[in-house]
Amino acid sequence: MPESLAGPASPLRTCAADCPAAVELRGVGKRFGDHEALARIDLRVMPGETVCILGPSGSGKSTLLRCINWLEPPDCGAVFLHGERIGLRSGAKPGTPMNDRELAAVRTRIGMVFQHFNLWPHMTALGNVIESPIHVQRRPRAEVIAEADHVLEKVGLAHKRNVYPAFLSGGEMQRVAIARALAMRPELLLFDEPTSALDPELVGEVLSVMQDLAHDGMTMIVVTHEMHFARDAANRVVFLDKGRIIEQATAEEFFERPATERSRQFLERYSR
Amino acid sequence: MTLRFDVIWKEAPQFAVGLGNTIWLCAVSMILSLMLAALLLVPLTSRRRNLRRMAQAVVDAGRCIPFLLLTYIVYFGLPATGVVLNKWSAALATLVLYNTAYMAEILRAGWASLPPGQTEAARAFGYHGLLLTRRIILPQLVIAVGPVIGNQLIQLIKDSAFLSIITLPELTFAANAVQSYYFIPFESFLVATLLYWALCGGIEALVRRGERWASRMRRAYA
Repeated sequence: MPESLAGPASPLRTCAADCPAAVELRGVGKRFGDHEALARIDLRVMPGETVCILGPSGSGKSTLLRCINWLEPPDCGAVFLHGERIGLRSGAKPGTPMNDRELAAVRTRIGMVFQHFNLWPHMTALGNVIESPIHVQRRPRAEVIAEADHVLEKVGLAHKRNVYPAFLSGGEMQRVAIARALAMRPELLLFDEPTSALDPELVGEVLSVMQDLAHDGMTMIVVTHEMHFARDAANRVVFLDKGRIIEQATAEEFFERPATERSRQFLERYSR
Repeated sequence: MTLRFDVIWKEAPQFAVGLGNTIWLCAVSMILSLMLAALLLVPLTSRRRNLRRMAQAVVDAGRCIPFLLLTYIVYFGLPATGVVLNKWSAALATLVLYNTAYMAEILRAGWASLPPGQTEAARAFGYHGLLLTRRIILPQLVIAVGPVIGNQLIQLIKDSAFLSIITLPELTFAANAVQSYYFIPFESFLVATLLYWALCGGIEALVRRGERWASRMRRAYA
């Protein structure tokens, strides 16, 4: 088994049955004007689990992801990170919305990887990776750099540490983006269609890094159209359509014996 | 016709002082107006519409007044209201006021053109408020509008020639003083022009190099 990619704070792979979910969504809903993007979503993701969210475009997959770290505040429902409510205060003045500072503190515990990488163009690969641990988490610089070099090596980009994003390929940019998320020592990693913007020949290098992470026991929620990745790396598959969870199953069950007509149609279209 | 460049050479110290004054006045007012413009960026990009409109109106008013007129107002007009500035303060105030309006508009346009993904990523990584502006937004603004700021600096240097009207000893004033004393307008103004060309040409070269660098950096936006 490869050396763990996850930081020291990563959750243990095994977990007692009664331990709180890494993430729990209860009745989460979100509307954009007349359009109902999410309708009463309930979802539990256990520590160490890799959950793939599948569904046609416009089904609310990305919105679901962005509701977890409050980039998109849900209209209703509740989100919990290891049992703690996100977005609303629990201690002083319970029930009132968190301010920017409190939200920022919660977000540092959740790593996110975007479809278009969103690397900061004015920093090198290493600069991107160490930026938030140093300036937001305020960890010691030397320690952060050592860890960042380690993470960059793990994603196969040690030799590109001093290169600016403009001089990296799409696959390399996305791997730096994954390294940037890992350097935060996140309790949870969110992937928003991480390979959709890549040329087909660059998809493999990104998926293989993600696969290693899944094997190492990182808790991951992955929005993707990569059926092979979902089949090989996911513990569980969630099928979303029109803002509703239509089906939840183990990867094997979902791909071998899809339970609903809608998911059968979807799989047929994508396996063609 | 004999050209009297020997006289110009004799008066070189006066040209040097004029050039020096032009350079430091423009450099200082450039830095000050960039700082003021960065502050103005807050109301200019505010989510409150009234505040945004008010700030935009102030900026537009500043941009739509001729530089020479603004100089008259600050140096000759303000004393009537009890505000008396010496020519140095008046010159600096005029340059800063006028230039701040342009800088604020340049920064605002650059801010509006930034792709939202990088800022969103920063929020997802725990940035907000001043740290977000300082570490993520302002550096990208420099990449986006750096060359435009360089061009504005060239504009500022040329505008500063109007300050000779309030007898501020900058380069144009020096050239005028030399030509009227020795009656050699062609030589004197030619040398001043060459000095402006050298100064602005140097900035232009830096701008071009910066633009090449910035356009490479912008390739990172997928």
